[in-house]
Amino acid sequence: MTPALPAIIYPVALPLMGAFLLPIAARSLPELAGALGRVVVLVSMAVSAMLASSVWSSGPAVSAMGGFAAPLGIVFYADRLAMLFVLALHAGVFLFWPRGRGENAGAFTLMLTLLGGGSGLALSGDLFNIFVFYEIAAVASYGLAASGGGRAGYAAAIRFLILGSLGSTLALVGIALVYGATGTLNLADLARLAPRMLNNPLGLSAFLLLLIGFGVKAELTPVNTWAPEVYGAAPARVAALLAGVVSKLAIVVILRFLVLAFPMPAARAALLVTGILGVIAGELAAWRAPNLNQAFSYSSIAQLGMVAMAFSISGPAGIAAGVALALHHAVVKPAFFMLADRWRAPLESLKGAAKDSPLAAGLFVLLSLSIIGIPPLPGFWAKFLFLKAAMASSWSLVWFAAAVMLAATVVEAAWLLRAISAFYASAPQSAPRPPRPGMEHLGPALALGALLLAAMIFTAPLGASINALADEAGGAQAIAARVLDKGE
Amino acid sequence: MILLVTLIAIVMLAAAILTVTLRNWLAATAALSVVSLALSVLFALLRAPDVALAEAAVGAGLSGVLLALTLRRVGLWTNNDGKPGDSQ
Amino acid sequence: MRRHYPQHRVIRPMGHQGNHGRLAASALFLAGLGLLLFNLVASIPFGHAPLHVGRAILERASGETGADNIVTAILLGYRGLDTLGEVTILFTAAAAAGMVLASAGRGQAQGEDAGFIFRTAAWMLFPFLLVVGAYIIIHGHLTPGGGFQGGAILAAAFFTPLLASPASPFNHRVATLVEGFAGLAFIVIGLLGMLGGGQFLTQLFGKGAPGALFSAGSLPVLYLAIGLKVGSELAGLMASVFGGKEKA
Repeated sequence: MTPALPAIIYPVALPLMGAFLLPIAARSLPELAGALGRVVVLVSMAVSAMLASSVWSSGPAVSAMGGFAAPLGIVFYADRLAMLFVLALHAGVFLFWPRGRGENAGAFTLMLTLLGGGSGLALSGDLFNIFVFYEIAAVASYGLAASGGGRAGYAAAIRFLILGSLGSTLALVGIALVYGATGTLNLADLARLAPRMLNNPLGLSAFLLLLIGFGVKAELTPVNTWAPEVYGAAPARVAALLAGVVSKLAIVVILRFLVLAFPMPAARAALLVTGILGVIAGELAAWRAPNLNQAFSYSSIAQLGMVAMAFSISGPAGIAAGVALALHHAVVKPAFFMLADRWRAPLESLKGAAKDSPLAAGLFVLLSLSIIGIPPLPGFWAKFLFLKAAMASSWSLVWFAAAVMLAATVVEAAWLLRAISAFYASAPQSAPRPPRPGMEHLGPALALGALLLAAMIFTAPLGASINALADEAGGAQAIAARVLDKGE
Repeated sequence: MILLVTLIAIVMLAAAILTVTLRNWLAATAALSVVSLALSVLFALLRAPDVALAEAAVGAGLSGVLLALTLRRVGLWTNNDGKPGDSQ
Repeated sequence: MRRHYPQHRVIRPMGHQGNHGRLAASALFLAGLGLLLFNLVASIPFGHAPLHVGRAILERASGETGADNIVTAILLGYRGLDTLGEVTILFTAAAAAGMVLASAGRGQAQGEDAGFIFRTAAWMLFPFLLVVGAYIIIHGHLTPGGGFQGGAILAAAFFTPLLASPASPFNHRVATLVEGFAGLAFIVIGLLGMLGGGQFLTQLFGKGAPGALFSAGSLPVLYLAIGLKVGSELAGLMASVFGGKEKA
């Protein structure tokens, strides 16, 4: 029996309440607006942590909004996967909270709506409700992309907005097709109906349309052209948050669609192919990128491609690998963006940067080793899980994907080592000294580096809980039973 | 009924094509509002009064006003095809 | 903080500058997409949609929610959370636009007065628009319409006089207050539903007699909150784009 837990609305309700009140607070107490927002995030994080611990100890929980039971009303479904990403989003929003005071109240409001929307995205068990929360998160991201101001920022934000709106429109068409074919929007209900009603070209088209729409945020290949521009023009904190956590939420939602509503090989193949294209395009572009910020933008496309490849492998092994890759990237990439914020100049002018800021350079080396996949670091285990899952699969396209990932690792190692060797090279006497990352950059990066080392120490329990999480998230019929058969 | 619906569909299509092809931004905005207005009549005929009301108020009314105000703000509010003139 | 406002440039509609290749490619893409969607939609039998959830809702809606207007029963009852989300999308968009507009600086002159006739007409229209908007919001659970539609009309009521005489100030402070507390009210009503062992957005109060003004529990209150929020948001947004004077 699945316990009904009405409290799982709080990670959505608390940030939204904060967001509605913040503009009022900013008008009368501009000094406190930022602090107030942070307090809301902390309270919501504490409540989410309590909910997560209850989900971890006593299994998934369900809440039917308004008391209308599953297929008729909207349900929230909190399992370990959902709670993990809700917590990650809270941590990300807290860590990358925008600087400034009352004059930046617009950005604070958008951060809170992004938090509420993103939490709803992870928790909701209803196709259209997920779309609504996705739109909240998307509109907030468009605004945050423009929050740095400047011509480049506005131009990047408006292109992001146009691409995102086009994607959302197509996703909405996909949702309409699903509703037209099955007559339901509830994902658990769809899990029961899909093998019979969506296993056809109509279902595949609906999945592809959803993939395009949600792929905009998940940086999937044909629709990720916004990423390098936005990450280059937006404040580093926004880039870190969008690339680190928000993109992962979108791809987790795509995983939910794939597992629950579209359990067909063609849909998996589509996700796998976009993943492979993303890895190839992302790493090659990163290799040619003019500076570190751009290189990390492209490499984030490649990393999300890897997550997509892992999620397309059927069964819990693929989900576990994808979640591990996603978590690892969510820790490493924001730290990279923070470090690279001051190092936006071409590599030649960064020679000798390690001498001026040894801590930042050392952290850069650690993160690079992990993302390349050097054994004791968590990045190795994530890639190892993927290779293991790929080898266990009987699908030859997945073997090709594994080969692509290995080749991409070589390319990635090459350009990261190029950067590292520039840092540790001796600078010519006449050259101006490279800028140093300040404490506002180093602080979050160090926190994430510490998290990475902690993950290295606790690899074994972490692996076990990711496997348990994947077992739980991969069982479509078990999820359907938990949501629909309550109290019967 | 079918004649009326066909007529509305033709008006919508014509206005939609005009929206894309008109060179004057203000006129294109007006054409866009015509699409929404015709659509709201269509909704009313199809017995969806709630949607018709929303389409008329938001689609035909507010979004047109917002677009026009934006044009005015960025200096594209002109009455002729050529250079940007002053407002009104 | 240094901020730059994008310079004014004359942008022309696509195709004007003779980029025919791109135009042809777009047309081809749109035609293909249209054909694809047409085929997909045609494969769903028209008029025989599987009303799996729909039929159940049609049968139960007015009994379960007490709302005469089934659209409202769905919008605020069965899918109340979607409605909260939609209000939030609008709020987020208005906040983002307000942020960009504020950092780009207020628009300079608001343009000259529209003249006596338009000004008088706008003020004469004001009470009527106000009443129509309020009616549509308050009767959302009985007749077509509701918070979104009525809110848009309320926004128009407040914006039309401003359009007629741009020199008159718009009170952004009050708009922000109404907007914030109306949104808060929606969530608080939802959370109150959890007090008696219910879930988020469980209806409060009795359902009342179907068709009466005071029926359908807390749904009319939710619609009132939505109407006020949408109205103040849209009016505020239009006033900031218009670049009117702020009343301190």
